Amino acid sequence: MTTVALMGNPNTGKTTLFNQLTDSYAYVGNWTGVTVEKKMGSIKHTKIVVVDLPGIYSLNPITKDESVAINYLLENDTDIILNVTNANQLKRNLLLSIELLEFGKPVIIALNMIDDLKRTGVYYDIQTLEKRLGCIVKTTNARNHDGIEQLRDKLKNSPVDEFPTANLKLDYPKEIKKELNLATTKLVKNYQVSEKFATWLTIQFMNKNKIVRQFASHNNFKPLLEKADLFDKEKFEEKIFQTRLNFIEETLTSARENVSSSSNIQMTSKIDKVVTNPILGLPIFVAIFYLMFKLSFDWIGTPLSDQLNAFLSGPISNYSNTFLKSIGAMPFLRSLIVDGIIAGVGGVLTFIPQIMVLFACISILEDSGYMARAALVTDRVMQAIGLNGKAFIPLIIGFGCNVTGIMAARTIEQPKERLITTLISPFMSCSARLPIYSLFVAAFFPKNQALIVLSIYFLGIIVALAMAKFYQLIFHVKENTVFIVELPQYHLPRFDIIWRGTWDKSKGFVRKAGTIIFAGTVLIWLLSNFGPSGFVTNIDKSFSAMLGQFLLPLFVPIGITSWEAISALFTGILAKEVISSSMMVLFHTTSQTTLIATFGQLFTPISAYALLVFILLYVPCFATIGTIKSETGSTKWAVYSVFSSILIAYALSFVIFQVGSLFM
Amino acid sequence: MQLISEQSINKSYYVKDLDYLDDQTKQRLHSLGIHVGSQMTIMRFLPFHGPVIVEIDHQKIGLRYAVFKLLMGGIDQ
Repeated sequence: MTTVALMGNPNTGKTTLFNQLTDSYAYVGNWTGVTVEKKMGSIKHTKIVVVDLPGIYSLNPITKDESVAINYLLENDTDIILNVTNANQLKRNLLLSIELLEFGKPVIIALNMIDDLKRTGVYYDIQTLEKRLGCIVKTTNARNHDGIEQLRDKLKNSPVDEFPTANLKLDYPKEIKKELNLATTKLVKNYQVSEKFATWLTIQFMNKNKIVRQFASHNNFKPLLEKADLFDKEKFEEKIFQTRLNFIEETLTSARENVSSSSNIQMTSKIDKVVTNPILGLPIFVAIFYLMFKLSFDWIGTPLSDQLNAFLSGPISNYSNTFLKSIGAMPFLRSLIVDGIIAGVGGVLTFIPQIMVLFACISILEDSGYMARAALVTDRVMQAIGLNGKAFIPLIIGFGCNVTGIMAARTIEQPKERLITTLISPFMSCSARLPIYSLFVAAFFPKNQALIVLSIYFLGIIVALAMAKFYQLIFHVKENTVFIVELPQYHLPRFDIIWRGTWDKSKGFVRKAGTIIFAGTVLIWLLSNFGPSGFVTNIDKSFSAMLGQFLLPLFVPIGITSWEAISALFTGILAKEVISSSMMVLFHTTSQTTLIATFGQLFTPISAYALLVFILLYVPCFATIGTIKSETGSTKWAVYSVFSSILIAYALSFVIFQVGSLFM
Repeated sequence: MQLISEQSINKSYYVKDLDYLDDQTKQRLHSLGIHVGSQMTIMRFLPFHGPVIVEIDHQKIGLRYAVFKLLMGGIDQ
């Protein structure tokens, strides 16, 4: 089996190229979304495995996701490195390429986005680049599938041992070369390390690479550890940087060719003039999100969901019931399938259109290049609460799924800022909460559905920001933070890329419908059909009723007067989608219309809104709790997150219900 | 201190200093190919001393105002 590691700067189209190269793939991390964990795929009819790693600027990691890439290189014996570069910004992309070439494995450099380069009136002579860099160089334009076939053929048809091993030796200053030779010789002699690896290790050590310094310390590489102070005092890092920069400038100058320009890059500047406008920037940001919600809830998502619901609760439910009767299925089993599984799982599946539209919108924002601008225009607001604009991206991704959002927080440099972002992420209203919002807004606010849902989303953002400010004061977060955002050129979103992004994100929801939502539905059906005396025909004597009624006095002050709603809230801890399916089961209905009519008797608009606020903020789902634990490396923070969110949810819905009741 | 004026927009300046930046910021700027002597064109200032958009080597980058000021040598234009 041949392993190809895909490495490169962020915004070089690495994931698009990965998707074009591979036919099937699987995430190595448990969650889909941005590449925050490595992702593996294979090239059809071959034993070539391609590993997509998070984007990195250098091999010396600042963020947690960058560490994933570097650790992969150190811990795995990769056969070929496919270095994806943005041809239009080759100068800084080659800084990473040099580090990869010095690693000594065969390297193929893909000059991606080659069309963007040509539009500037510049081109590079590939043979000159290959000669100077000592590796294979290919040109691609992954968005248009250009050059992909040639790249795939190269990987498919050339045995690994025929690839030229990278042998780049830069002309570092004399004092560096002297120390490099000394350390390398000792490492090879005393520590059984290959000469290439020893050379790379020493250069990286001189370059203050944190992971390499830990690696050297862990392996007790004395020839390096003893010289650390000297390397730092002599500013080797600066000298290495200068040498690399000079080499790159010489290389690019010698390979540079002028071609006729078909420049339309002015488009990016024109769009930026509007979307990052000092006055209009933030209102445009809000407007884009409003449009997203209108598309998901009013214009496209809801009408499709309604049709799917009519189909599932009508023909499917009736046909299944008739079929089960005709084959003589026991009433118990019939009830489990029709009232439990079809009502519960089906009730959640009807929301797929809304969720897919929302995910498609998020994918369009990611693919077009707007996300980086969103980080920029929100930075000043985020700065006031001790975070930076980059924290806004995980929060936005959290609209899809809190788990992915928390994972995306890995791109934040400072540990304290990362922790705060992790802790406030569950307040972002994930797509799993949509089904229950949709039911309540349809029941109580039919004319203002999008506006009410948007207000819930914004309330989540406000609570998240307020808590961030609180944590800033508690954790004594200092002002200085790394906030350097690259603004990529805008791209017209492509359907295939948007579809893949939407499906990647949505399939998790579909998978959950078949697993945890199915299990939760069966559980709630069992709890509502069994009581201390065994199988019960009257739901009021079931375990669910007992639990709900026991806790009812606690919930009355926030406007919840039905035990069914309380039991449903409990199941929401499994996964938020389960709340609506539980309500379907608990209220014994397969039809949303019937359920909406039932709500009308149990809630008022203000108590319904208070309940939605409670659902927005109370306990994160199991998957999110687990992610908080794994990302913070501490059970304490996971437990804290559970209790603090219950407290906040209760306090806020209490205030909303009590104050609202005074006026309504 | 005098504010960097809007008149600097679309004008080019050379990066004067990286020494006063913290290590991580300096490292990230280096990774983006930015060094003392790099030519930077100011594209936009966001309000209330928010980020500044600059263009260096055909790439647009958003920086915190404080970092931008240090790159300019700590002196306002």
